[in-house]
Amino acid sequence: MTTAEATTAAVNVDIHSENVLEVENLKVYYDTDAGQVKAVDDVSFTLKRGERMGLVGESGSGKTTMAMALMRLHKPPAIIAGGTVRLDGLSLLDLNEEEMRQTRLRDIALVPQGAMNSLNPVYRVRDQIVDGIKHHTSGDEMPNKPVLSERVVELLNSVGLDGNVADMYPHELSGGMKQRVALAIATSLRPKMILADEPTSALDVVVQRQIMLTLEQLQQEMQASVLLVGHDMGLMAQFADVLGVMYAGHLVEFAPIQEIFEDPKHPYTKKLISSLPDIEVKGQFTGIEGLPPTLVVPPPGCRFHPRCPIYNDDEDFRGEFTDIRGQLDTSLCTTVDPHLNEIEPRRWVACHMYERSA
Amino acid sequence: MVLKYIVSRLAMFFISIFVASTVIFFLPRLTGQNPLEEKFYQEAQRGGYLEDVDEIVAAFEEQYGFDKPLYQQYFTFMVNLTRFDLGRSIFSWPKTVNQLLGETIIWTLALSLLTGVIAFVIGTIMGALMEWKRNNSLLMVSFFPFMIWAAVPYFIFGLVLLTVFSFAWPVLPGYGGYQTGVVGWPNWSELDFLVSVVKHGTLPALSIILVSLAGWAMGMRGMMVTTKGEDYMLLAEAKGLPGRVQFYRYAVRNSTLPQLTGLALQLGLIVSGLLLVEVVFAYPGVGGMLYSAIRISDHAIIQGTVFVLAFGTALATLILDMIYPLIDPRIKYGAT
Repeated sequence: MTTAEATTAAVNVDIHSENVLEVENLKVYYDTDAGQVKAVDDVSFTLKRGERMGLVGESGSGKTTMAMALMRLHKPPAIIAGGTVRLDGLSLLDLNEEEMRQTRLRDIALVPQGAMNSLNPVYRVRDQIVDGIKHHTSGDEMPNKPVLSERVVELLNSVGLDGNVADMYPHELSGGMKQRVALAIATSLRPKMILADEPTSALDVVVQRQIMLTLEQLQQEMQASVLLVGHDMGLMAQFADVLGVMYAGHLVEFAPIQEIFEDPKHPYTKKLISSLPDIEVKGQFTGIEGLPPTLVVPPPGCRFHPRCPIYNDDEDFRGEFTDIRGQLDTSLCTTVDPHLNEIEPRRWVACHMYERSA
Repeated sequence: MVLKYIVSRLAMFFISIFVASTVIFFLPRLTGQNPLEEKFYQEAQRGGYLEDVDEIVAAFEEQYGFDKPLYQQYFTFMVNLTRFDLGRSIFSWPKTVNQLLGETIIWTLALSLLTGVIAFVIGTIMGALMEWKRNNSLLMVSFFPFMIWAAVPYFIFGLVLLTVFSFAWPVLPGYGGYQTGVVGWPNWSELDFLVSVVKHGTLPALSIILVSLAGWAMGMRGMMVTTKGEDYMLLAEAKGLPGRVQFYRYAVRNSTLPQLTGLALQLGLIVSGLLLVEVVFAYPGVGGMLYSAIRISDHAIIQGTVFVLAFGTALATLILDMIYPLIDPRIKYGAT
């Protein structure tokens, strides 16, 4: 092996080059009359090529705000107050408007929430697929009409739709068909990254499954990374490779999906997973007591402490955590905002409980 | 499918014309005034000769058919309408209403079409830009005056313009449709005459354009706010479409649809507003004629003029109904 080859090999296995998305200390704030709402505060994570990440959290936890900010689609009063977002090494927050426009769809595409109204009601499906392609292709590279037409049919077929859907208007399609069209649009330029913001929230479970299978199939075929935002834990378990859990603007846990379900580390994640209904155990559902905090004046220290079973020494959690809780300095919970730490390989948690052992 | 749609819209057109004609026939009669009697007694008093007035009135009533029972008058009126025979004026004898309308309608039509189109186009564009370019201070500043402006009646605004530009600072004529007292005028093939028409038309036109422009701008701005919140706008941006494409093909294209519906509904209002403007500027249009006809209870002219206005509005609505499915695919020709 020559030195050159060795270097190439080294580059190929270099973990950093595998990362398609690198988010570091991302802060998205809303400037409101009531004060600054820190909707996304200091969020960092990385996503590898071809990896599927799920992002869950309560309503208002900042997951959609963050997803929109990744594509710089956030609207005032939201502002990106700091941090970096790198897509395949390209720093998205440093691009000018035109460069960012070019990047959208070509490198990072959105599958929108609310399939019902995502298509322009006055144009045919064909026009809505073509305009995305057209505005990312320079004049002389623009394929001629028959080629483009063929491409539209190909795309529609790839999402399981018939080619003649191209000549239909959105109101002539069902919700599932509309979401398939949205998938066809999102994959029309083979992006490196697909951002799916609750893509199945308006659909029934049968259609949900079909859409998710289609998304998975396209993702695997293109080796694109996917960020799936939602709060359906069952869907996440089936689809995602890694799962991020957001709480009150913070990413509180980030880990491979299997591990997070089998052994959730953060008390919030634990409560979240134990709240899921079990088909074998009938009885009372257990939720997470309390409400998410206001983000204008978040609780001091750890934002979860007012609802935290560990901090509040909840009986149900005592047995499992007696040891750790004995070591936990609970005064930290009310004073210091915990950082996201890697306590085991690929297991990131933001909780003081683990800082001692880490 | 298409045929069914057209037939149903045509039926609606004729029904509205029928209802309007009926109302038009009865409304002047509800005032309880007998124009002929009043007129002749006035004339007779002026001349100091009061004999035989009743007989003269009766003779004229017979001439106009006023002596017949109401249902018969109504029947005759409706039958004549089908031939666009609007009857004879009572006081401008022996001119027919058609003749009188022929002299005046060109002025009203030209003024209303021109001002309507200009106001609609400019207002809609301004409204769209007001919402789209929120950081443009000039557009933002215009928001507040527009809001007040849109609520001002045309003729009040016309009075203001008249006071300012015709009296305080007399740059434009404020009376009539063209320079009067010139031999041979109106003569549409003479350049000087046309210049005079434009000069005289400026203030009435401005008072309509500026007010309804503000109205269209406010309406469009409101629609743009709604449209901007639609999911397809987010997807348009996420698709990496350039700003101008998002603006024209997504935001404006969808926001204009209710504006067009508004245009159809407003046509009647624009015309009726125009009538008062014509009175203010003594413009030789239908409005002035209608105004004086109402003052002297000339039923024939009132009926004829209002019928023509109702007919025009219904026709414009019909035309818009016919082309609407072409601009909004969600409206189908098949649906009734």
